[in-house]
Amino acid sequence: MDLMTTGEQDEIAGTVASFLANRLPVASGGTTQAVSPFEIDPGVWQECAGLGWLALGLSEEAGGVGYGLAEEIMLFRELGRGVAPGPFLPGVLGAHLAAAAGDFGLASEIASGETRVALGSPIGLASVGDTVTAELSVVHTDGATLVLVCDDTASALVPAGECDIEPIDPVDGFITTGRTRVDAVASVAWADNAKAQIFEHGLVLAAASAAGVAEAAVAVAVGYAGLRVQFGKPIGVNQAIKHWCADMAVRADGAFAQVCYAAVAVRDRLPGAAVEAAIAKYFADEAARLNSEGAVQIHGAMGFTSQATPYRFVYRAHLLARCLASRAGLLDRVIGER
Amino acid sequence: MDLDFTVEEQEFRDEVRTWLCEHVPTQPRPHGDDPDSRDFDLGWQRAQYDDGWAGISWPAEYGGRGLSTLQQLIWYEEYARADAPWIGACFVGINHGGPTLIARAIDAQKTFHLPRILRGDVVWCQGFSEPEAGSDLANLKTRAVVDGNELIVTGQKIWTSFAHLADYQELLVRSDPESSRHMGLTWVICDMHAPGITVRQIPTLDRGAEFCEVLYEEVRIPISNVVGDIGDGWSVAMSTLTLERGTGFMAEIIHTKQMIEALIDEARHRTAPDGRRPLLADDDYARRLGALKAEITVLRSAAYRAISRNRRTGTPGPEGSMLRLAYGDLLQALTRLAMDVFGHDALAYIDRFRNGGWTGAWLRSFAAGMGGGTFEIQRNIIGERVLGLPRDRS
Repeated sequence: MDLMTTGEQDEIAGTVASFLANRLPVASGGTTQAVSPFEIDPGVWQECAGLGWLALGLSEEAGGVGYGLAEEIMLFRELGRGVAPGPFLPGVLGAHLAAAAGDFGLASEIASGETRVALGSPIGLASVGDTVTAELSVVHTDGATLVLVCDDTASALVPAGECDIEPIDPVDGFITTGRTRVDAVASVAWADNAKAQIFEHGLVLAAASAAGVAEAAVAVAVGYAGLRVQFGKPIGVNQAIKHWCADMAVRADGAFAQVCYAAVAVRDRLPGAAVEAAIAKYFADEAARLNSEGAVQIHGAMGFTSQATPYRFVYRAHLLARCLASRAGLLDRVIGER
Repeated sequence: MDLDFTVEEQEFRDEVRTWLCEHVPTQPRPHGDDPDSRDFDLGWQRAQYDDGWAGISWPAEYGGRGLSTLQQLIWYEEYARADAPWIGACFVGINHGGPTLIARAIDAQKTFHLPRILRGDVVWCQGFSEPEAGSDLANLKTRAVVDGNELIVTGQKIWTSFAHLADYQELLVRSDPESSRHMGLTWVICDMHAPGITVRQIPTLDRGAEFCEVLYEEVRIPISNVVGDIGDGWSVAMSTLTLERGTGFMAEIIHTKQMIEALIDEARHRTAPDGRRPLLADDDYARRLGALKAEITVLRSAAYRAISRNRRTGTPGPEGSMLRLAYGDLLQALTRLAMDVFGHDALAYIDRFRNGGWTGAWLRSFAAGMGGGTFEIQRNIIGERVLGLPRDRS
């Protein structure tokens, strides 16, 4: 038993973090929406794909790097910390799905960044299989030619062109978002969840990003609390601030620990893996929401502006909590039959 | 990153499980001011000793099992799963006084005391806190004056659990009257039967009777009982940490996980406020229970990670405070929710060691916010030593 990251895993995280800091720095400076028409610059997207980010956990047979979920969570944690744009989550999951469905050609097209995938989270009851019927909340719509739909029964890739996605003006103005209802749209590829476990895989990756958001929110709050001087002292000497930061740190620590446990459980198909993954998503979503709120409050009036960074964490926590499965649904999975 | 245990470790788990299954006492531990509680705690310690399970985390050269970190983890996990008794009066000897002796005592002190602790011959207690030195431990004032080859101790200690049953005490005193704060302190083994010692029990809100205050009136303690040097007491008091790998905490986590499962089961068999459905069919109850189950599961993962980290670094860091805080918070939330689940049945007091002892457990949970450092102190440690926020103390 060893739940710490390996040197190689830390290296992946370091590479991703420095790339994001250089090429996709966290935008603030007064903007609540992306200024570019693209969710992510197409050149930067291709560079990320070229670095193998979409293929980390894909088998070599399917054209991937051959790592596993434990390495993928390092990528998604950094994407969360850096509140990065781009359809990484549906891309990674879509490539896994295509490979599980035996379509290695499609898997490598997605993994190379050439074919882009949006994430469709079912609202209410859905039917997912060789055709898909569902009401969908869709994120990362920009440039997507496929939509990944998954729940705990099955996952499927459907053509975006047949989904008639209605764009919405999203709270997280850096992620292109829409809504649609699809009725018996034929899948390009699909797999039973019992076989491919795309749903649990997705919960763990989304949880890794939420854990990253929670960690980054603590870091900016602590940084500000140590610098901001009022009444002649840094505000961080006050227990009202210090203890809030401590609670945020405890939450962030727990969130990533559970992500690690769930990643291993899903990877190794251990008993109870589905519940571990649901707990990871539930807890990381809560941590991201509460810590981003804390970061805003600790920044005072500055936190209410779009010139400090905390609002980016509020936006992203809000978005991630609505991807794949949300609080009530996750808690129902934790309790099980009742 | 893995959750694998070796074949050897799995065999060890089977061995532990079998032994515990056959030896865990079937009678509940006596609660409150029951004269049998000392015998119960020492008897259970002796049973473990006789079959070679005492001092699971102590080095073999001092009579312990000297097991690997993961074997310790397995022991504590199985200990909790077997519903083995709370360590009770043996806590300080096994988990604090003994480990301090191992780290800092001279051979004569070790060979006299360690076997007695492991065999369950003696009860130890801790004399650290004072009326004016709680969270601010370094403010302690109980004084020791050197007189020939003796220390003469006068003062008062408080919140000393099991002092009324104890044979020995790890006692922290101010031996240099000119000193202040962490300097000039001495850690000494005090014989609790020595003349000049008065123990008064302090009743607690959960009907417990082990909380005590201890008064010292010119108590003579041989200088040979001092551990470390005179004046070096603070560092001796802190040295226990070097033996702690965070594995013992896993027993509490597993125990709490079992409490949550039991509470979920209880909610399955009780009726919802509408009188028509099981309580667990009520979304509000189900999700509050689900959230608690999620939180204890997360705490297990965090503890696994902390143990993994300690195995690499060799010494636990201030991160331990994060687990303590999360655990205390969760235990209080869990027992509070249990009071809602039990409704009118929660009007009846049942002590925490008996079946269905939820009201006792709830009342006891208030102590989780104080023991081993209050929630506020834990948050200060996290804020200052983990996150590096500035201190506001001289």
